[in-house]
Amino acid sequence: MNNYDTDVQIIDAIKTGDPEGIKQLYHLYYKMIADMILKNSGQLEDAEDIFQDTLIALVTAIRKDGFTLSAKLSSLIYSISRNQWLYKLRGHRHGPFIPTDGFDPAAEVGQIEEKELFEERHSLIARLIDKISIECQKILKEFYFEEKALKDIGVQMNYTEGSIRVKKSRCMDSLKKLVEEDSDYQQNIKS
Amino acid sequence: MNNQELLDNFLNRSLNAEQRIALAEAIDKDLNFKNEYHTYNDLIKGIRLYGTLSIAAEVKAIHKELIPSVLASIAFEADVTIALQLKQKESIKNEILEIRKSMPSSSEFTAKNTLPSERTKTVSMWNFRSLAIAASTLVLIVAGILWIKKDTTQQVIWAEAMAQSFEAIELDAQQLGLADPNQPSRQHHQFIFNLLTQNKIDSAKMANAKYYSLQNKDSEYYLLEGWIHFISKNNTKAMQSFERAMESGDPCLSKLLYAFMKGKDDLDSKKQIEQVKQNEVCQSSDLIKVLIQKMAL
Repeated sequence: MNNYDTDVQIIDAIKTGDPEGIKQLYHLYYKMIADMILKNSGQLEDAEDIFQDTLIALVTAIRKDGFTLSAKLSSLIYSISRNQWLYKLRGHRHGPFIPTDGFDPAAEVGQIEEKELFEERHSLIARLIDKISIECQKILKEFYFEEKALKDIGVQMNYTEGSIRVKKSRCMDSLKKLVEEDSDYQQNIKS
Repeated sequence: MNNQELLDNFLNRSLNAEQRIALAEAIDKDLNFKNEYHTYNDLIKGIRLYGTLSIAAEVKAIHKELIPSVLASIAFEADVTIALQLKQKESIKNEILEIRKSMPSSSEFTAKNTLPSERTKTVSMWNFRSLAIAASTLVLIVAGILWIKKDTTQQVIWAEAMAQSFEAIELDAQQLGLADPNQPSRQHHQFIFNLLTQNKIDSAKMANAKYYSLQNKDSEYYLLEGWIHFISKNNTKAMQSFERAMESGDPCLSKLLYAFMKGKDDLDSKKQIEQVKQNEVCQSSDLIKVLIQKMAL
């Protein structure tokens, strides 16, 4: 097992998909978050859920193109978890939690977007993505989810800029075809 | 630029204002293009959801693999911390006993300057072995200050009242139970008292502020703030904090401590102590009963 002692090393590991990066976050910060939740009327199960949600938000942000760490990783994790927990405690269902005690989460969690709202038809599409080629899955995920530049994806996959543009367009067409042929999706948009 | 690239640029806001307006109008006018736009938008959202779900699955797998060992490690760490605290407490206790042995004059002083009824209580205090650290530290501090200042009997009385309150409350804070619904608050209370008995005033201040940075300041916060000021020998601020604890909804303990600080012979203090004794809610608290009984009020 590799040792990741610094924030930069952990972030690099997460960026490259090395699971040790996320594991290190568990070892270093789970207790801190569990303490915070337990001291604020939560149970151990809440701590586990909040920590998982925090990591999903954090890993998503880290893997997006252009991520830079503006605060210590511990502060970032604490802020995201605290916001999520306060949000859950106050029972808000729409919009982000707005703190009233002068704490400004935007200062530390600026690059972490609030949860995107998805609907059933988006879940149907997400399932259909498994049916397109692995290469297409990778191209579409990196372009639309990780927000990488098409040119960079091309370099990584040994395609010229023109070729990757055509590839991405074909991948999108094949996904579109699958979606348009899917009866559940058609049923969903009609209702 | 084909339709895909146009829609990509529209959705990621890389078109200028003029192009955006033109495309929005085109989408609005042409039903086929409108459908294509909606489908395209759905595809992108579906891809984003796919990305989120992939990360969620990755985190979930690691969570499942790691959580038992992480929890076991946290439990072990907690046990070690408690063991170290006990060891440290024992060592402080021995240190204080050593100091007491080398300072016979302070005990003589306490005996001389304490009223007969209070003297009995000073002895009884030593029957509570678990309270030895907090009580002996405070009695030594109080006795030392009074010996230097040669203060009046009145001050001896309130100082003793506060010292005894401190030991009783510390004992109360130590009586933790898993079924206690106020366990986090009690643990915090105990933690602050531990720091105060070690004279770590700044740490106690920081810990109290940190704990309450996550929730509204209630009477408990001001009560602890009062104790921190009291141990810092800032009696005016301590009284103000106990008063704020009263205003924040504690009609019992804060009132009693505020009265002790004003002095037992003060007319208002007598009234306040009487109010606490008459208050049914206060009387349902074992701690208040112990305090009133110990002070023979």
